[in-house]
Amino acid sequence: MKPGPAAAAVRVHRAICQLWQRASDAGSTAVASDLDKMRSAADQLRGQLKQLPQHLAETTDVDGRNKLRHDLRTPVNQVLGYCELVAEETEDAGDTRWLAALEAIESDTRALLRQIDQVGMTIVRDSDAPVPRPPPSGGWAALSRPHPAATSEGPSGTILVVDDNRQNRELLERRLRRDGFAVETAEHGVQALVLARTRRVDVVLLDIMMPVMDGYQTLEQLKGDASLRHLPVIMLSSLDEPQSISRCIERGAEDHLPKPFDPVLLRARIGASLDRKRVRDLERAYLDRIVAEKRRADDLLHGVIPIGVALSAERDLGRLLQRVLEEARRFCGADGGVLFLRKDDQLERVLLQCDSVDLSDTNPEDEGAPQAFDLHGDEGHRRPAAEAAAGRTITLDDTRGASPLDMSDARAFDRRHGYVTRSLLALPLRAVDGEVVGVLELWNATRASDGEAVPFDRAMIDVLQSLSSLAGAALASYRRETDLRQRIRHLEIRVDEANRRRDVSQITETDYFRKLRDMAREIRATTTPSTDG
Amino acid sequence: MAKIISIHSFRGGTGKSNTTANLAAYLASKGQRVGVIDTDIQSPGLHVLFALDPSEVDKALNDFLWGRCSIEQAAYDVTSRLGAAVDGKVFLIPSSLRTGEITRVLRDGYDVSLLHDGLRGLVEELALDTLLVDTHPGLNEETLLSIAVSDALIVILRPDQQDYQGTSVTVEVARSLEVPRILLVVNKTPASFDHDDVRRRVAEAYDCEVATVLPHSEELMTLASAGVFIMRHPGLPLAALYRQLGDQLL
Repeated sequence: MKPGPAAAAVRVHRAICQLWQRASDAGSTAVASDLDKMRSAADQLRGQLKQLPQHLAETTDVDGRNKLRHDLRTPVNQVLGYCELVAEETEDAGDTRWLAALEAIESDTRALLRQIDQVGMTIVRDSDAPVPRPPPSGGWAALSRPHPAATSEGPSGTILVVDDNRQNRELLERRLRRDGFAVETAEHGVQALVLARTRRVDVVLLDIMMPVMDGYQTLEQLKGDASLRHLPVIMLSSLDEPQSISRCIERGAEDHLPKPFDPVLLRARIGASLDRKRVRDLERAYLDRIVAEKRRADDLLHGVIPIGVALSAERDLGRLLQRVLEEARRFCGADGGVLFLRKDDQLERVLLQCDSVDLSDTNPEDEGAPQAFDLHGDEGHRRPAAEAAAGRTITLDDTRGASPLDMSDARAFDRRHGYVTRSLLALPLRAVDGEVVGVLELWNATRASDGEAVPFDRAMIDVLQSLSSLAGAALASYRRETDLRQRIRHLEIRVDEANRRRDVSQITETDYFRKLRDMAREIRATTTPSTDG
Repeated sequence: MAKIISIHSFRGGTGKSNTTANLAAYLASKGQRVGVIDTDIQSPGLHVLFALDPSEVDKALNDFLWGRCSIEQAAYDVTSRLGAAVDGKVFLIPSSLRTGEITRVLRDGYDVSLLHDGLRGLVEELALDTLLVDTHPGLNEETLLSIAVSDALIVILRPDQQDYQGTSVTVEVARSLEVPRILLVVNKTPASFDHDDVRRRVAEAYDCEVATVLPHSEELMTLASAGVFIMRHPGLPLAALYRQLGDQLL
């Protein structure tokens, strides 16, 4: 008869104690400390196994027996986990004194685990299964090489470990940190959900059997939340029944890891989940971009183009300017703005609007700002509008930050109205030939969905640039038309003298014409001019 | 001696036929016997204003000049069709039923003095006080011919059309033909213009007398296309301006 699990547990406990003593004597405090944790796990297991017959007698249902096995596996897995960890750590440090003893303990504990797996399944009797061979010498070391990327480039992801057992959490956390991951830990599902919502998390390692909120419920909550749904979840469980695994996969778990963890498997599955998450994140980013592009196209089609048509049809300059500024502000939720028109080397402010200080269609002159400034003079130098007049689009997320631009106009406006100009966008208004005919300056963009103050983003700028080119074309054509009307009002008769002489001589210097003239002369000489009437 | 007056514009659409019809009616209202030579009977113009259907027309000036018909057959009395009673008379004389026939006649050996004699014959036969020649736009040989035998030339231009160059060529050619009197009529002048300013600028640009500056309005266009304006709407300001123009030719 082979010894039963209780006897095997006693043997493992004894081996751990002996090794702990050796480490303590040798002054290897770190190793001794880990062995102490293994010893208490083995001690707990020994106690549980002592009471096992009584518990088995009391528990006859499947769930109860599953729970029984789960409780037994927990300390066994801890012993195994520390065993591997200490072996890896000491070997990495070049200390091979403990390897043989650790391998022996690991081998015995695995044999014990197989016996426990059978607990409650049939009548407990001594297993005649052969003791498995421990991993070949040096095997752990070979497997335990940390992820190269992890060590050289810092944490390659943040793993949220959810397990009610403190020692399990510690063990996993140590292993994962060793592999180069950042780690967050939670004792139960509720805490895990809070962390997932508030911290950066890339993968969740989720235990199934937990108090407060178990793994299934936590998984359901995670997958039911649109903002968390994309997080990969790897279920941790001693319950390696195919049913429980498929139950988790059906509910959206990414993968499954049986306890005790194989370090290589753990790394591989976490790595695969992270890779998938990266692809999914990329996909989401592309989708967001597609949605943004679609919005931009819709804005153009349903917003900018009809406005462009309306602007071209506007015959009143005042209303045209007002619409340009209003529509531009509407597209980015800008609180205020100024419209400038270019006159030769001057930029003239013609219109100012600002909702939150209740200024609509204000003549900028009333605002104390100079009506116009010279683009090439000192006063125009480095003003955002002057830069835009040179054909550049100027974007500032916060005008109060350091900037090489001259913000004195914004500062003066802010002082005057107790206002705060944060984001600013200055765009050139171009005619079809590319000539800058004016400048549109907008302040304090807001997000359409919630009215939150935001910087001018790429999508807004794209749409506003399209609007600006239409507004520029409308302004240029208006200007051409008024110029023409002006010219007509003061009738300008232009006759090209050289062409006139050429055209006249083409008619008069012909034989026909000379003959005609001579005859006309002759007739008039003989006819008395009319005197009657 | 009756006066021969050619009315010309470098481009179409200046209101040349309308001006001619109104002048003719005004002179007739002053008791004159007026002949109007229509150089373009094929297209809607003078005969429409005088309510003369082209199907009623079968003889033209050429037929008279060639002795193929009497003047009574080539001249159509439209006095009763002016829209109001007048003391004088208005005769419409189609120049030719086919465009360019006068020119062909000229090339065939019919010379300027012959045309002049012919027109004088027409004047005498109809006992005309004034003969108005409504010319083709542009400066073709036919037009030059009628300008050459005229005592006066009225050149009509629009200020809103860029035909300044063509008008200046016409004026210069007329000077070269030593036409005794050249008058400019600025027609269809937009309301936005200062008419005195337009008169001054036009006179300056062509170094030529401006007889009148006539306004443009959609309302007038509609009224003017239905008959002779001064007969139908004698009370409107435009009628007074036509009369003023006519007075300068009396």
